[in-house]
Amino acid sequence: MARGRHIRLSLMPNDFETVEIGSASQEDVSILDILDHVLNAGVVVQGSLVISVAGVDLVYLGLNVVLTSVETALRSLNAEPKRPKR
Amino acid sequence: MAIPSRNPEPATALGKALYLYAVSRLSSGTSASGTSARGPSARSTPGPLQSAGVDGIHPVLPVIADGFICWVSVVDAAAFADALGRNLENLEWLALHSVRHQEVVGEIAAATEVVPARFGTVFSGEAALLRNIQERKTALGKVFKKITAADEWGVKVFAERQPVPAAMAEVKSGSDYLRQKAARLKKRPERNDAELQQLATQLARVARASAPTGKVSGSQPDLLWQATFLLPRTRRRQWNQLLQKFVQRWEGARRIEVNGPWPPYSFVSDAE
Repeated sequence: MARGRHIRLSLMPNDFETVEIGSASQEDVSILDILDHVLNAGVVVQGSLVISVAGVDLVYLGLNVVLTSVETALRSLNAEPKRPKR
Repeated sequence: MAIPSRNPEPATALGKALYLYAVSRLSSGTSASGTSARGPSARSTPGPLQSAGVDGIHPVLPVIADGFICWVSVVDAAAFADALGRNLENLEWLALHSVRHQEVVGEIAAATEVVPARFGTVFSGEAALLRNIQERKTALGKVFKKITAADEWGVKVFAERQPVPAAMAEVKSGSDYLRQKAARLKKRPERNDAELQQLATQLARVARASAPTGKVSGSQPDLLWQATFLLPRTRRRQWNQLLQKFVQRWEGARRIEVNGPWPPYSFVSDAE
């Protein structure tokens, strides 16, 4: 799990670790999983982001463009030559 | 309406903003007599976190608001407010800051119940933050009820790659090749087949709630199915037994990966 544990920062999809079922001692959480969970806090679902700046309390920004860019980046990563699996 | 703050003002100044990570409840044991919410010595009052803020520099501090504790750090308004949209499109930036965000929220979640804020929630200052919390007080209370004593878990099912048997690997003729290709195609597992549905249904029965997993990891090779669950901590054993059952049933054909426990990121949208 990722609470205060070391997190390997990597964008390579091949770096996924298989987690033993029932084990709560997962040392490596993939960056993709972190993005999936962290960004799932309303952002992806709602397609907008709440910010409050310069005294204006709420500003909504469209985030579709973000997701698109992440997906495109991942596709290009996937398309690169695969490294040998563990 | 201005909410009087019991806290020392975080050093928001020109060009600075407050980044909100999560909201926890001010427990009854926590001192609200409050000259300071940060006394590192007083056990009952929350102190700054070990993890650095999302910018890697500023400390994460508790700000007490209306029975809640807002966990915030000072950020540069240029990067986190003015240019946030552009930065979010930069995958490297997004990755680094999501990890830091998770480290902070994870540290809080390890100690207490939290409602995580959306990634990139920034306020102009403490007054704006307190006003916002005041407005969402009722919704926040409901969300705390929903997520109490539960964690978020991600479950993924992958197809195991079938190694080509050595005897078959040798292709002597065109018909050999076609036979092998047919065998491989036959083995390709179906997405959304009955057994995957069974797993989904049974997991949902043990969990308190479920949600679709974000799209980011959806392009992993051989991924057949994934979902996110809110699991009461008292049901961990039941949950593991259920997963174990499917692990055994699918041995050699499918692999199950579970990640968690996460703070309940995917189950707090109602707090808006």
